[in-house]
Amino acid sequence: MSATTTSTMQEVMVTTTTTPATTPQIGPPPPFDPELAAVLPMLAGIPKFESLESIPAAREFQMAPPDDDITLGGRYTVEERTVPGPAGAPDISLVICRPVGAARAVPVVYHIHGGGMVVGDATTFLSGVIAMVAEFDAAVVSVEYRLAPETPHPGPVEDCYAGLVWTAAHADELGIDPARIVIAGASAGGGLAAATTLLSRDRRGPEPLAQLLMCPMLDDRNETPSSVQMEGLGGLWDRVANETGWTALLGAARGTDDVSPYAAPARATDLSGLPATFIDVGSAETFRDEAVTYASRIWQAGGRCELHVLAGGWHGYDVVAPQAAVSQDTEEARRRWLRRVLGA
Amino acid sequence: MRDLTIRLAALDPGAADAMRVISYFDALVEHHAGLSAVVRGAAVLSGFPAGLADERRHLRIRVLPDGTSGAAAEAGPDPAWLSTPPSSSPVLWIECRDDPTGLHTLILERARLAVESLDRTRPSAPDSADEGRWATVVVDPQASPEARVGALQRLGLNDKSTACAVAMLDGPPVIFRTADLARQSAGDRRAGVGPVVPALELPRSWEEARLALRLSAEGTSTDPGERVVLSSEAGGLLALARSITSTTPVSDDVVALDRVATTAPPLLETLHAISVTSSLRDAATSLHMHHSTVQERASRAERVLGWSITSPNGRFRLQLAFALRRLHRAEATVDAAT
Repeated sequence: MSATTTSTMQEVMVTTTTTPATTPQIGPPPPFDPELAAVLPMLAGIPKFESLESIPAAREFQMAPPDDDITLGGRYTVEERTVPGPAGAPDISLVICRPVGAARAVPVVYHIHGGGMVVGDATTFLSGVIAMVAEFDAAVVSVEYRLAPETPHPGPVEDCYAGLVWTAAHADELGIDPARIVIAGASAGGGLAAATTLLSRDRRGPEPLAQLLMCPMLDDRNETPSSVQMEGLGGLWDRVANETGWTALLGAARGTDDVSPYAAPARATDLSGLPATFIDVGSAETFRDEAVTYASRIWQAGGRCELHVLAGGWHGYDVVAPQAAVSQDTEEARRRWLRRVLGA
Repeated sequence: MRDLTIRLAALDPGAADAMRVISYFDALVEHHAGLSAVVRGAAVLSGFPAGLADERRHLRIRVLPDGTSGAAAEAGPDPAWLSTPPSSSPVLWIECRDDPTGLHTLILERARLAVESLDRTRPSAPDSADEGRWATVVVDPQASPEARVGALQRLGLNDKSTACAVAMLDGPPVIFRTADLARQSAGDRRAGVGPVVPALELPRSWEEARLALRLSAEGTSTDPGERVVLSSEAGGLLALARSITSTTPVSDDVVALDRVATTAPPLLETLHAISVTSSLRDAATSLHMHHSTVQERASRAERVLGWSITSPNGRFRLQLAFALRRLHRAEATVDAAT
């Protein structure tokens, strides 16, 4: 770890200890799952998101295999459509993937990619999402939202919402069933999915059937025990990176009282009236506590939520190491839940 | 495509290098991974299906290169594949036929070492010395039932299980769930297999296993016979085994066989074959010899022994003589060991 990161960590630690909140006693980091621990050394070379200045280099870094096949070997047609963006903002593009030869309206997964609010595009890990829902003959619509810091809040979430509205309004044309929309995203995409769902609830927009939040990035305050506990550990995304991502989106407002729940869903005071929700997260990652809290608050509000916490998982383990037993189980839990909510 | 998420570089087998392989398996050991994680590592790093077969634990694992479980192989590995020796326990393999870079051999070796160290540190899989100590308690009629139940649990059994005890020339008792597994596991070692009994009656199975061991033979020309004997197939010979002690006088028939053994070992083998087959023709087949040769030897043997060996009575007398000879020989070898 570089000297810069170390000094950042110390500053953060000071901030934490002076926070009057009743912080529970924080023990050592939970151990990583053995197979995931074995993979970690291979992540040594990836971008660290130490500051806003590190974002351009991170965008240059090619992390996915270039031969990702989002047609799933010809089972899906892929089409890119330019559709209206938010009022007064540029158009957005949607990557629309539909199963070949579907006889009737199919369910649709409205997908929001991850990347810490600052990197990635609509095809980021899209093949994995399509592979996950192919057994339901579901279409996948993935939105190309604008990234921070060039586009701060509310630009990204408004792009996501605009794409959702267009998708629901064009259901007939797309051959999808507007009553079976599942909003899904991982990491920052999970946070944006939760925010888009809140926005749609409050604006009386499209009513998604369900939301699938995979290791979601929900809380700009970055102060949970898990974020402190896992700082500097786990490869892809830690507390320092998280500060970089949220600062890119919110600027100086990050962590203050002036943050909208449509930016950071953990800030929402009302979590009632949400569609069926699935949340999963690793026990050894930054987002553990905010994901668990979000699930608990949905239940407390009388909502439907299913929460899976996978022991020893670091952030993004299921995508980086899909061969690990815990990754296979993670994917299986998502499929089983989808099977139930889609009535498939 | 810019992508935050990365796929494990090791999913591309070409990218795997020696350092990555070594650190991968080291980390699995350090974090107390399960055996399937080790096999999965071998499959993912090599890009070929990999497997593990552990007869002792009745465990078979087979993993495909994408990390998912494959159909478990019925038998062990194909001899053409890269594998640890078939006699090793457990047997580990990678389903590739050649290894031009040597990397797969390295993967197999590191996986083997990982399995070995994980076995040593795994409480539920006692090493063989521990297993022997627990098995000794399980077959001890003097041990309290509580002690025997505790020992059974350490062996992965309980008081509702059924199992059999196996006696070998050296080493402590070994416990198996079925006689077939016991026979397989004995391999080419000499062994007596006791009957499958309720687990708390294993002292009885052990007693019969030791008798059966005394009825086993080296399987050589000077001591022909079965190297593994199941007490359940020995019938009245068990009673005979109980009655023969070091003070029992050696019968003339045994002395005669001993004489054949020292003067004409091939003849002894022929006699044994005749004793366990129903005709001279069958004996010839089992010996891969010509019928007339066996017939000639049988006549010669009858002159040496002084009785007919082709009549039913004569064949029985011959079988009995072989059994007695083994029991007397066992006084010297088997009993000293057990």
